Amino acid sequence: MGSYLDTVLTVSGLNEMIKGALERNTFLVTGEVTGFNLSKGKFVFFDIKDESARAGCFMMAFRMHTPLEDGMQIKAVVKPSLHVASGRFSLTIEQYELVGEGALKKAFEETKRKLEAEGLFDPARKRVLPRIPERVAVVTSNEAAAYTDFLRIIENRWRGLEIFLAPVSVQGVNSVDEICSALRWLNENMELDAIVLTRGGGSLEELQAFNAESVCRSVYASKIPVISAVGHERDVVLTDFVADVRASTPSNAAERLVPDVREVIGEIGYFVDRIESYVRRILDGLTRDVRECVLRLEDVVTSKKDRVDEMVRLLGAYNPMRVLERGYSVVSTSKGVVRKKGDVAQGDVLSVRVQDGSIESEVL
Amino acid sequence: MADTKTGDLIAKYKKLEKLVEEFESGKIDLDAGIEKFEEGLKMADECRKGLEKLENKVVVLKEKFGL
Repeated sequence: MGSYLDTVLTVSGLNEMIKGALERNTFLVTGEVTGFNLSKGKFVFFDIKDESARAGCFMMAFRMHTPLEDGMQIKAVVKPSLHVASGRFSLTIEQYELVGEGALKKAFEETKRKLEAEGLFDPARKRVLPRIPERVAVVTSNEAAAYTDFLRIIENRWRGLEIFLAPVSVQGVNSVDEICSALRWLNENMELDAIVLTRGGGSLEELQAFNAESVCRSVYASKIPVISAVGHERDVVLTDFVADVRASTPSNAAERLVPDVREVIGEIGYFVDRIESYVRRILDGLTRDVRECVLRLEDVVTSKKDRVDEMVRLLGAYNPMRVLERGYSVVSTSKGVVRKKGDVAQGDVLSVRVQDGSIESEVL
Repeated sequence: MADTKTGDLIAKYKKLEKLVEEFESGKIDLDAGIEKFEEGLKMADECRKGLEKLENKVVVLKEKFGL
């Protein structure tokens, strides 16, 4: 800035110039929200103040990723501006985050209530992850311990996974935009089995991006299933409720995502055992059947043999030789066997058959 | 997806699982059974060998996210 005394400006002209000069700057400011007002559902107005000064702020409602209320302390990236017609000075909010537990807890409760009422936490919409994934993306800071922890567990457990890192800030004023942008980009540009949204532990302030309404909505809108693995076991963030799977830590996310290769090898062995035992059962069954048939055949043969023996005995009883042994004889002439007195005439030669031979005799 | 090594493995694993189901539902007779049994053993072996040879791959996306 300097002295511009060569030209006489109109008020509009001056205001335009000052507006131009102001808008070339960006500042980081902290202060308390007061006089919050949402106009027509589209425009957000409030004053930001400290003990001795205040300034008017403006933001588009759709850029409000976390609810703001009077009394909340915020840190914001602002661009100063001047409204030409009114000469009014104001700050345009480009990014912001909440400061202090009070503000953060309030925002958390309000967002949770709102999203739950809209059905974003509905268990029915949570998709099942494939048992064996092939391609996944991790949305996190590439300097974070969370990332290296996750990779290490994957290496210990599984093989053949393609992992894409989408580097983002996981805290700070830019984190909300970066996370939303990454989730959207992955959905539009990649075929994936899952997205892991993760960071390590931190304070409520440091984790606040994962409680932001817009991040939650991006997770809900993701067509690719999302695992939320934020902070430590005890840290609960709103993305945990919206995601398809909540993991307690980045390491736990790796455990939920891939099976243990040793277990899978064991399962394959078990499959083989089951097939083997089934085939053996069939074979045993068949052997049993064959043995039964043989036994039945043996029965049949034995009973037939008994029948034959019986018939032989009966035949034996009817053997004519037996009759002769008892003293009977068979008398015959040249004409045949003599059965009646009339079969013979005087002088006929008779052949009398007894058990050991024949006796010749004559009819008297 | 099935033409990657992992995709191949997953397909074999699923086929093996299905084979076990077929056996246990009693749909297979003895003649077909011996053949499928051998097929099952072969797939199991390939799965196990495959799992030992695969490696994880990490790619850092160059895209800049944010406004």
